[in-house]
Amino acid sequence: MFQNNEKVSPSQLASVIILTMVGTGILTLPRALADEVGTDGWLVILFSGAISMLLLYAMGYIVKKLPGKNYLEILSATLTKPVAYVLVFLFIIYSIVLNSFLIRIFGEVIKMFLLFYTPIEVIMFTMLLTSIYLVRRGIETLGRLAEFMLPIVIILNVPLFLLTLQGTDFSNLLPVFQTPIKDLVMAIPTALFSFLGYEIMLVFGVFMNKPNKAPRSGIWTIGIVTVFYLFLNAMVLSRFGVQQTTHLIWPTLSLFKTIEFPGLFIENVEVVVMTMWVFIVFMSVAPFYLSNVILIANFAGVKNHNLFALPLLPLIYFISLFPDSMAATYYYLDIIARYGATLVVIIVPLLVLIALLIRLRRKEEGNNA
Amino acid sequence: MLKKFILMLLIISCLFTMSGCWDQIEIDERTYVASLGVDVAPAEIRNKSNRYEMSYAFPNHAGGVGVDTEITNMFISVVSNDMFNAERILATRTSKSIFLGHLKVLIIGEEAARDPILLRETLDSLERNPLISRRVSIGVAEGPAKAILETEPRMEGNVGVFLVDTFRRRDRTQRAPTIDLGEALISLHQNGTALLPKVVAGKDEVKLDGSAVFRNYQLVGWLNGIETSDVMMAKGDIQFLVIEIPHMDLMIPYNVTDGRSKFELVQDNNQLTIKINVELEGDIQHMYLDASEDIMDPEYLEQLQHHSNKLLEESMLKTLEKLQKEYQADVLQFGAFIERYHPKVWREIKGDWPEIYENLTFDIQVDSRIRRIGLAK
Repeated sequence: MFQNNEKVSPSQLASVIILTMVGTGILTLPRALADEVGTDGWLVILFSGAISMLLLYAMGYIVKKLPGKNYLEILSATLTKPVAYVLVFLFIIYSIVLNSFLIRIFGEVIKMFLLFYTPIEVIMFTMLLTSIYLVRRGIETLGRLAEFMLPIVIILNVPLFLLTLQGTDFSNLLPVFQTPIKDLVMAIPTALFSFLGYEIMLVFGVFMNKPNKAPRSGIWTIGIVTVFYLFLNAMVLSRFGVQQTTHLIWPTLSLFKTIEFPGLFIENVEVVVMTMWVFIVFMSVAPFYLSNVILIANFAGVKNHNLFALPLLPLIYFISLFPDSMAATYYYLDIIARYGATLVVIIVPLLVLIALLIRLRRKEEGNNA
Repeated sequence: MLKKFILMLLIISCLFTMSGCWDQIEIDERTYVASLGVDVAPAEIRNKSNRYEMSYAFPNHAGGVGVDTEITNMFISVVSNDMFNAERILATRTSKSIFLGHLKVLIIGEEAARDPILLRETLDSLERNPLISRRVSIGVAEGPAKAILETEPRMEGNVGVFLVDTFRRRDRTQRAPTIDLGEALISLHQNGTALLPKVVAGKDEVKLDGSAVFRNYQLVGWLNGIETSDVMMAKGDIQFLVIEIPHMDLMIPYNVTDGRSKFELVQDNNQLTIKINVELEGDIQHMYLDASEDIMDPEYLEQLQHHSNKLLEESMLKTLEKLQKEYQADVLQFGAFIERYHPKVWREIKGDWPEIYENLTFDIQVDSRIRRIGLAK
């Protein structure tokens, strides 16, 4: 009845990746940066954005050069088959764990702000069920939904940020260029992991209907997210100042909580903020979930990935309940981000790229000879 | 057909069974606390587990649907070890569930404000609480906060509503600072100092006059109304203020409607000077009938402006020196100013900023402009 041809356009994939990336970094980025480099966070965001842009461009390039190949096939073609299986296995573990922690943080936020007495298990479970519904519909539905939701999120965001303008003090952004270069470099990983999410490019690249455009849409994608993060960081700092920002767990949500609009029929705009936040998390969880399911299907050599959507739920659910507290969640998330992401997001794509370039060079030489 | 019917039935039953009800609460089962007072527990019952006396004031809607509802003001105070516990104890004494999400005013009693631990605990529990808005108005009572919440102001029966309106209204004079919880927290996080409005209880009225000076998270002293308005002027945070300009034997009211200020750092050998340039704008409210002076004469106005400048410069200098020498509280955040605009200087003096602050000199320049003089010549 709802058969689809499993194809996404470059702009749809870009929307998916933007929403996925924003979901992981939006809440804590300003605090993490204020903690490490004070007011010079924007420099770090720019650097990390540039690095991410290069990486995503490289991924796009790989997709372009090896069209119609899924992640496993890409790895097999460039890094031999056994290595490919090991790396895909690691990727699956990494993204399952990341996904679980995203769900956990989602649950914690909802419990903290909206549903005080609802068990967190229920909150997480319903979110996962909703994701599964989307995941079983496949990549095309996900792409369309992302393309449809991105404008909504942006449209909701603009007036919200405008409302936070009252009471901001832009002198809080000063001083600039005062952090030693060493500290700036040390802070880059923190910001880099706020950009996480674009690694799904390699998984979803196979579904792209115009793989030629992949590298260029990658640049756009990271560009938009970088601008958004710069903006967010500036707003939070100018509202709270460095000292206060370092004392807030989720400065972004606290920023929106300062909005008060006397005379408006709703005084607190938290309803809107929370709605947007649920959108964003959903669009972060669902792509990760889908990429998991697809990879497992590839790994097992099964064509229909739908089979794996439901059985994965208990696993994600239990991993997400593994950390004892919210502090522990962030601690584990940091470890996963630092080690897992370095492997999956930086090392593997670079290896693939090098292998690919060598192969292309050889081919060229073969042609010339 | 039967299949479809069963499916429909399933869906409908889902509607009823799957909707979460853990957090369901009816609006009339809730009490919205409008103002909260924090005091130290009375001496005779104070011990390790009874440190606070929390006072809650809230409007109570009695009566049912269709009947005339009667709104009365409730006031309850609870002795407990912390704020959260107090809320639970309060719940045993009320028929409705207590909701702090619409808290508007926080009053801190004098004694509680002098205890840095109590004050920090209170403010931290407010910052941590996701329900409480950072726009809550905050004030410090002279004496116990309980006394403030117990008054029933004549103009507005509910003291909570009365305080909110007084705190938020724009047309009031700057003799008490305009600040909310969020701003107070930012200031305290910055360097442990803050300037919060002082609330004074009368027989059946409450007024805002002057301010409380905090250093190291505790109350160290008070500024009176005039001194507070000096600080607000130095900060450039002026909306409404009337200054009496003495001229010959007249007192001419000069109504300031707008003000800006700018800091500048001057380094002279080892002496740091903060130059404060204040620009004020406003109008003359009255002279006297058939005045012999020509107020339309720009030169005369300039004389008035000059008098006003001198008067304000003197009084501001006195107030800033009081903050500096007597209270050692960097309320105006000169430290943050130097850090932002002169980071190199700041790196050298950061370590002994308290001493350097005490030895700062101020150079205050006020430029008051009289823009309008009313309808009469």
